[in-house]
Amino acid sequence: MKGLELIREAISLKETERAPWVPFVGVHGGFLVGVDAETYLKSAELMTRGISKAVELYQPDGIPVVFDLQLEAEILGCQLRWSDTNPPAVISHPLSEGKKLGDLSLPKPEEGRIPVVLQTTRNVRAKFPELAIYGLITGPFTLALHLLGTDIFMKLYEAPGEVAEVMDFCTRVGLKMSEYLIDAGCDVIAVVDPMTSQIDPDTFEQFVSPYATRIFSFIREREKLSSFFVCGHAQQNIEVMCHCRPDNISIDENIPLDFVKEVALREGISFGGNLKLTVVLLMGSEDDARQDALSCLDLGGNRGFILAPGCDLPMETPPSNVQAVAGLVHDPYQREIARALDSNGNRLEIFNMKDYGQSDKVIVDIITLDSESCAPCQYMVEAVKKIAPHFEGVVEWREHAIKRMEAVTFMSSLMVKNIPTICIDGKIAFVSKIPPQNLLIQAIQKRINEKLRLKIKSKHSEILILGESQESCRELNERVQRAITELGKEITVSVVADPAQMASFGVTKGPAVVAVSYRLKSEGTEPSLEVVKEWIKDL
Amino acid sequence: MQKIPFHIISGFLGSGKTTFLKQILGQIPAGEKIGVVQNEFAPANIDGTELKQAGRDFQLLELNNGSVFCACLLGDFVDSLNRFVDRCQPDLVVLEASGLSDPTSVAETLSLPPLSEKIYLAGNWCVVDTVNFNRGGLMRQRIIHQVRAADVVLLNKADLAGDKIAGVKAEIRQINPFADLRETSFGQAFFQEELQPVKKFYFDRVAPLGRPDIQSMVIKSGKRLTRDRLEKFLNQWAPLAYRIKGFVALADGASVAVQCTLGTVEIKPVEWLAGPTELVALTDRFTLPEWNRSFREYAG
Repeated sequence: MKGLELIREAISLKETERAPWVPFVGVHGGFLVGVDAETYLKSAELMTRGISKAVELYQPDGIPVVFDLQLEAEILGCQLRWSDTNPPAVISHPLSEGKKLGDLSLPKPEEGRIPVVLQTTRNVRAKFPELAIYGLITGPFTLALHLLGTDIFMKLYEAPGEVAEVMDFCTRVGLKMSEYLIDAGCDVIAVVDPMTSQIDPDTFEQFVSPYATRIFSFIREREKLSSFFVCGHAQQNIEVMCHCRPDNISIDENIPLDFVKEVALREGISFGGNLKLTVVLLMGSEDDARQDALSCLDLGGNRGFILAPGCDLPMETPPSNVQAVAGLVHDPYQREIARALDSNGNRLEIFNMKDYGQSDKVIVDIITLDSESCAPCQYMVEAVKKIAPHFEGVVEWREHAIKRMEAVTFMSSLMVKNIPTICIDGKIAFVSKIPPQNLLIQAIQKRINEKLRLKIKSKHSEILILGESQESCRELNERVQRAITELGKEITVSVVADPAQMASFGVTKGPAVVAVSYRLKSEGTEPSLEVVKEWIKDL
Repeated sequence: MQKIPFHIISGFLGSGKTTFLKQILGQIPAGEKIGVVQNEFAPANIDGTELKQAGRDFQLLELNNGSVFCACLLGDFVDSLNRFVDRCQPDLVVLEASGLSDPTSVAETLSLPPLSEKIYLAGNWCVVDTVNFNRGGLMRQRIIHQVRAADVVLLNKADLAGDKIAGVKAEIRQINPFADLRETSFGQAFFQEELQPVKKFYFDRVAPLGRPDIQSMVIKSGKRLTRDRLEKFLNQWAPLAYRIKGFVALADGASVAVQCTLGTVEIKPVEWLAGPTELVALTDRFTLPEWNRSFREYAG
């Protein structure tokens, strides 16, 4: 099913084949195309490229055109401070600095950066007709805060009439912006109102509900979809947010997803969220991202849920983390793998595998979810199974299905990150892709040759003949040389005619023979102290 | 390298945070290098003008982004703070949080590298305007979060509050039964002894400000524990931590505050928790992944 269609299904609370996925790519798009936030947000061409790159990397079902809650404020006279790595910040508040509400007028489509956003919308619409395109507008309360500054909190209470007027104006701004974005081709209008997390439900009903409801009704009249985004501790307001009748509510990690699910579904509204932005997507690993996504998908379920980050992706979020989430969304096997690793990851012990694969045979390990239930795993096991007999007992293979704890330990000890993976003598050889027969045979043959080479080298030996003088060793030396010739061995013979050296071998009377067998213990690596100690103990 | 203690001062707009910060600056011995982190949400305080009146040197980090109000901007906060610490090498860092910011989200960023390698959360202070506390109905949500996260709640403007104080105290007790409540005027609380919370547990260490491997860490989770499992979880980890505290949403729908110091575990009921479970630990004997896993195991 195509992205937009899937999102429509989710919003109409139908059971979906999987949860739709909407990465909120804002200035992160600039990171993807290698430009700073300011340059990015001022160029339709760069934003189109950034979004296209995000679509390619993250395989989303929907994507925002831009995530910038300062766009309207800038047009209305708020000063911005630009940053290289963030959306700009509002640093002045005209209505608390002498301006009157009557001085402000509704933004026109050619003002400020609106043309850039509308052009980007048209470009993205044309390029990705099947994706849900999200147009974001600044929620009226957040816009009012931009205009009034934090004075708004005292005024809510000292001058409620004034706040209501500002809210009405901000709502009309929101209606205009929605209209422009819908005309340019957006499917979903998201009203982003993070500052509502600061107020309680009574205040919300008085100062936000009537205004937000107007915007959602307008979007419905235009037969488009709507979403109400909030971030921060807004748990108290979820119910009153639903009463504003958006089609969807999207929240961040500060609100438990199961709580939102319960309230939203009871109110007949779809919901979305709440991948952790900072500690997981920005600062965590791919495994962290998968675990977090899995937990969201499990809590959200397949009815009415849209998977999304809690808010605008931080600019420098590693793309590999977002890709890890995308992989999990699209591939049920990856979900099972993440689940198996999660439930088994608790008592993890790591084996010391430095000496792994030194036996005479070549060991092929296949790390799988379980070849009986995972098709790619099954093909990988079969590929190995099929070629192993060609090596006539030299190659031994085994499957490690990570549904079992030992296999998880084994996998982690070999530093395997992906499933399925083939390791040859403990070294990762093939990851995720089933190798063609010839490549697999080549890889195993290469290892056999390597081992053979090691073995040949390890046969290098030496015989020392010790005596008081060269002369006293002569006869014995000849005998040893003849024995070597007859046996066809490659052994060096040295005569040591030095009483001091004889003594160092513990020899008191010559002639004496010392046979030395050199063994190569490692090559091209730096074995650990423990490993070296084990070798020394064997001497 | 010794880890640097980090203090958060939260409080709603106008509660007296900057005044308190000025007091702190005056109380810290001259030889110690102080780092102050401020945001620019309050235009009156550009370039730390007001703080400079304290007549004490300090290194100032001004956050570029107005208000640390949502998770979106914390990545930038981490970068800026990390660079600031490397550059200035302070002995102590104090963050004057914006009236709108969420102290727990800030604390969470200290749980992870790179900051966790350099800094630990030593104290969380919330300044409350005692006179206007009850008027704050409209802003109550944020005040509740800040009071909840605090180790010490300063009841500021106490001289003007008259008989209101008892009522405000009772209300704060309901929100956070474990916080240390102190009445102040003009932010004049005694701060110095609080700079070294860890030293209390290491009597032999007098001078250093921190321990090299101490770490503060945060669990934030929507998973719910039964009371019995919560007790088991805390009993397992409390002996290994200097301090564990926070708020937990229980499986039966009740909410509790917890506090563990020196192996003792205290659990008290609180009003309904508008948010996920949030626990903060200060320890040098376990890591966040270990603690988190254990929490998830107990939550089942």
